Amino acid sequence: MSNRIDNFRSGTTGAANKADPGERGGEEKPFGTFIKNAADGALKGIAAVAPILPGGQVVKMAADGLRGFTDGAPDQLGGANGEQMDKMWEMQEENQMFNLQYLQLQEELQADNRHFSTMSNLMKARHDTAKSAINNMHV
Amino acid sequence: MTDELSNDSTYENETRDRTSGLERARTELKRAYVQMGFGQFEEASESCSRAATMLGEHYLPETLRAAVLSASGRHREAIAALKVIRKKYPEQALPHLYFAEACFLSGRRRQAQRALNCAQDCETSTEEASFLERLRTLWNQIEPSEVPPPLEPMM
Repeated sequence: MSNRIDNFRSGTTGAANKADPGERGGEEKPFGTFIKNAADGALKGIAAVAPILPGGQVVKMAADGLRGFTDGAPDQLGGANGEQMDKMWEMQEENQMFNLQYLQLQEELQADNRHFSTMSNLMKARHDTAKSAINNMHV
Repeated sequence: MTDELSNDSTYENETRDRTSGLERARTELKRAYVQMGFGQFEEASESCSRAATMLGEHYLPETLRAAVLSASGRHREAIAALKVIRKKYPEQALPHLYFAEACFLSGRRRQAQRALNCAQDCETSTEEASFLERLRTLWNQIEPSEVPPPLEPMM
């Protein structure tokens, strides 16, 4: 069982985790920063497009307001809480890994169950055969 | 008239003797089966011998004795005994089935399959047919490497 856990870690999710920073040229961007940038970009886009639409002025103001809020509080997303987000991300990956393991264990249990059931049926058939052969014996 | 009566009573006596002999043999075979289940292979074999003496020419005591050998891990001896029984009573499915089982457990898969085919050609009871089917199912599920090694002889 411990082998499998190691396999999972080194084989699939773990490898992907370790490979990511290297692929990005060594710069490690926390997940929170990534989300902050993405949200900022989306709000900027909404603010740019909103005036074209009817009544879009209100939407633009709202988008600008939200951007101001995030700019004013950078630590909310990219700071200490961002680290928490990273931890959550890791935990989610671990969770996925455990789910996979659980699935594998369930499959193994089902296979064992099938084997046991087949063996049990065979034993019963064997017993019934001998029993009926003795009971129906005639000279 | 007196002769007829005496003939009748002789016939009745013979029938009664035969019936009681059959019943006693049946009891011995049941005893053998139970003893086999408890791992008392020597005693089970003796019970089969007693049943064979009571029944005379019958395939069942010998077949069960071979099954006792097989259960105690003496597959080679069981196979040899069952070969003789199969030759003597080819129309009986049970010796074929036990032979197939002994062959399978000693790693002779093809021989086991052939014996199963022989059993299928015989007239089988419902129980024998079910046993045959289950053996086939199990053997299709088990890889040759997964077959458990023969038991250590206990007798």
